[in-house]
Amino acid sequence: MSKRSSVRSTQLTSRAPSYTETVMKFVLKKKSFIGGVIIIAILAVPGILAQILTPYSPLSREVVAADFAIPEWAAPPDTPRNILKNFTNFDIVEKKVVGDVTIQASSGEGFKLKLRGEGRASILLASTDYVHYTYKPAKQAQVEIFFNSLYPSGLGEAWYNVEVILVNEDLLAMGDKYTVEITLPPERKHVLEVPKGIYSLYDLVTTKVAAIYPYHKGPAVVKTLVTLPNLVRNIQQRYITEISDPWIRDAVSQKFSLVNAIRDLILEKDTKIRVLVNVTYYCNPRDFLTHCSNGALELSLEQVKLWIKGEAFGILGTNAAGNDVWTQYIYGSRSAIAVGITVATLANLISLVVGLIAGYRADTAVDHAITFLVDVMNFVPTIPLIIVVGLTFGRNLWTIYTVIVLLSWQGGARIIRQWTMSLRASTFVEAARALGASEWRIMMKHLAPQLLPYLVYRIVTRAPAAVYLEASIQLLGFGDPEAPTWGRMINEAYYRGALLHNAWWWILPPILGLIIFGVGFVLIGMALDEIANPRLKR
Amino acid sequence: MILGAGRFIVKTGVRLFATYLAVVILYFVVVRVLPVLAAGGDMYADPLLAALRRTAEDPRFTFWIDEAIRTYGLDRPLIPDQLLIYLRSVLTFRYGVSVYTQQPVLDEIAVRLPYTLSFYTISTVLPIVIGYYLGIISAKHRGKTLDSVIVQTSVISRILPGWLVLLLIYYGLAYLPRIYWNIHIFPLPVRAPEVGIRDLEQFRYLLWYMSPMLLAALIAWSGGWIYYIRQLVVSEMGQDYYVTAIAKGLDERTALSKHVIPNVRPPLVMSLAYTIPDIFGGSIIFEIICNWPGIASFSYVALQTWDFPVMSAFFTISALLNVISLFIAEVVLVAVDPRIRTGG
Repeated sequence: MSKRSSVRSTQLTSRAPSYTETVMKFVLKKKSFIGGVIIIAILAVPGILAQILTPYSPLSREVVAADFAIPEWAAPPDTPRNILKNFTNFDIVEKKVVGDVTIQASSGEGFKLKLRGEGRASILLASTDYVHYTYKPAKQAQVEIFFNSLYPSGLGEAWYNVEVILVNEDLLAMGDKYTVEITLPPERKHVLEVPKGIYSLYDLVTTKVAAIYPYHKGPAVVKTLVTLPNLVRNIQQRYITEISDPWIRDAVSQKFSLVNAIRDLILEKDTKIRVLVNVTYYCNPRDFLTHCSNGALELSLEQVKLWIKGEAFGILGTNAAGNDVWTQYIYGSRSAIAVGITVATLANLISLVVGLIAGYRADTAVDHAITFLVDVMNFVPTIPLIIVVGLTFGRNLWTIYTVIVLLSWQGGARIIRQWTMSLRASTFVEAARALGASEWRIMMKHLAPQLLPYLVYRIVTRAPAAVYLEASIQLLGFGDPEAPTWGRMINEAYYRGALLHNAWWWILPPILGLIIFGVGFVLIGMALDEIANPRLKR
Repeated sequence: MILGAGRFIVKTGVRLFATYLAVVILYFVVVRVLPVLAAGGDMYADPLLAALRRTAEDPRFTFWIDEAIRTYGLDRPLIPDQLLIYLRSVLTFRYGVSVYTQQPVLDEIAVRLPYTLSFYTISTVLPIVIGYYLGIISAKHRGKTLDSVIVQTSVISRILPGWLVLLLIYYGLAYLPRIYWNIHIFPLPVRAPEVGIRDLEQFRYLLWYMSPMLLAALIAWSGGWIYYIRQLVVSEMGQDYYVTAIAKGLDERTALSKHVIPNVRPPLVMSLAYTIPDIFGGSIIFEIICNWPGIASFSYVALQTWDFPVMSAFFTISALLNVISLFIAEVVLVAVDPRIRTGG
């Protein structure tokens, strides 16, 4: 142990510390440098691990919960969470048969029902599983219904109907009613009562036979998605058809469109929710309207998927479209850091080359041309030009970043030109020139290394500017709509009601991210200032 | 003395006019020539022509297209004929008629320009005034708590882009008080003031509507000036002439106002000249976010619909405002810099 350390110490003493080592030693003593590096690391590490930290992609716009779901850690315990339930097993709870109908039920992959014979049957199936709901009523839900029906070979022509119903047994047992009250101008008051706890999700019959029988004929493959509460058609149909006065009917249907079916009719804290399937069967050879002989039906009920959308989700909740905000945030931090550094590096390399050439050949035609170009670039209105170029050549991220690079080198070039002019007269340049070194070699091998610290300083301090510029273009609505950046998040949040809904988990992360990002780089820049800045050095 | 100043101003004017011309030509090249070159010389890749053809599909505008083709010389080659027509229209401010509204562009711009100018000037001048005084106060108290507080605040303010502060102000001071306590401190960026003020009520609404924009501009754009002026003053206070003046018994106040501040002004004005484009860009973003009835929010729709006359008017007037601001800055520089004033 002691031997090894002595070896190391002799090694250290045997050679003078290099320039990089002295700089590192100086910089590591600075508090602001450490702080800046820690801040950038806090942003960068989740960005690098983005694929591990989130299962979603920032561009797929996957709906993961209800709109404007608040972060899970900030939500009260009874805020609705995501509930996903797959109903596959069913039991027959009620059977009404008139005539000669045989019923066969079997459960394996899904639930199968075979009906045969002449007559009339009504069968009520109830799912054996249920959802025990323990939160406040949620606002949004979605039900996917998969079933198919067919006639066995050689038999057929039976008439039938399948209706899928969402039921809250406890509410239904209480017999509560949801009242809709309408007052029309000459003091006519109408009260309509909708029973709570039952809601028809899906009805196979769309056109009734001769406007009488609610039956369907023919095989059916049903894969349907019902989103709640958007479907108010059912309750409207059920309770409005009896009203004859069209004026009142309109008023009532308007009122009904405000009813949130899932929140107002189905969900209640500490209750059980089931899915019912009502199958009706009809085959009467003597009915001239329906013409049925040899009636038989095979119904295979595959699954009913219920998703009650959570109003508390994940680390940063969801946005107005139900997308995960956390995913967008960490991919945004990744692109901010990568792009900020890349764009600043490229722009400053341009300014290094241009500034060196202009400064080395000060007061020649080349220098005048470059100075004029720098002036011109300085007075190009940046934001209008980026917008126009984006519109001309396509609003994608690469075009915008290219224009940002081409529009942000002039400030650095001006300063590097001045510094090169003062360095040009120094002895080491004279010596190199006397040795016959070419102009390009003097610039790149002798002058450029002298300017390197300043270049690093400039890259660090200019890195946030590129990201801010992109974000501001996004905020104006001229950015890449598919870009995984904080700017796009801010744009969407600002224009899609994050402020109005007080969705702080959506609007604040990108804003604070941008601020912290800038602070981090400026702290590092402050530490580098003394080494790099020609004004302070000399 | 006057001769030296006059020559400097004329030289600056010529240089800036050349710069303006170059910026305007650059815009023409980027928007009209590059798309055609990128498409391999296909004339129909010209965005203006494409926009006109889209417009011509609308029967209301078909009659107008021939006139437009004549005005822009679209049947002639891009360079030099169309470039010259464009330059003439830009230099004489005859931008033509908007493709979509069928109104003369200059009239529309002229009505809205005061709004742009008022916000732009106030948001340029006010931060400098605040920065000037706070910077000197901070330098006077250098090394004390007041100084470090001012410096740290100004460094953070310097980092923040104005629109970010504006969003935070709208959220924190306009939306949140409304949502929680129903207090209307600041206006929401929803109902923008109309163009043209007819009575006092409208003027008051205009000022109220402008207040969050101004507050954001002050918060975001003062910091840079405070920091910059403090650094200038502190570095001047380390110079020999100041130390001598103090050693000879001059009080700090007089030494500052008679010796330090005249030396600080020229670099300050030069620095202003080079930050003007950034300030103008910032005020454009403000206008569009707030629907402020200036030229930027007017051009916003034009940009989306490729209304070329409005677009070029917006772009060239923006460049012109930048150039004029620099010209004013350089004239002020003549007034504050004795070396230029005496022609030395």
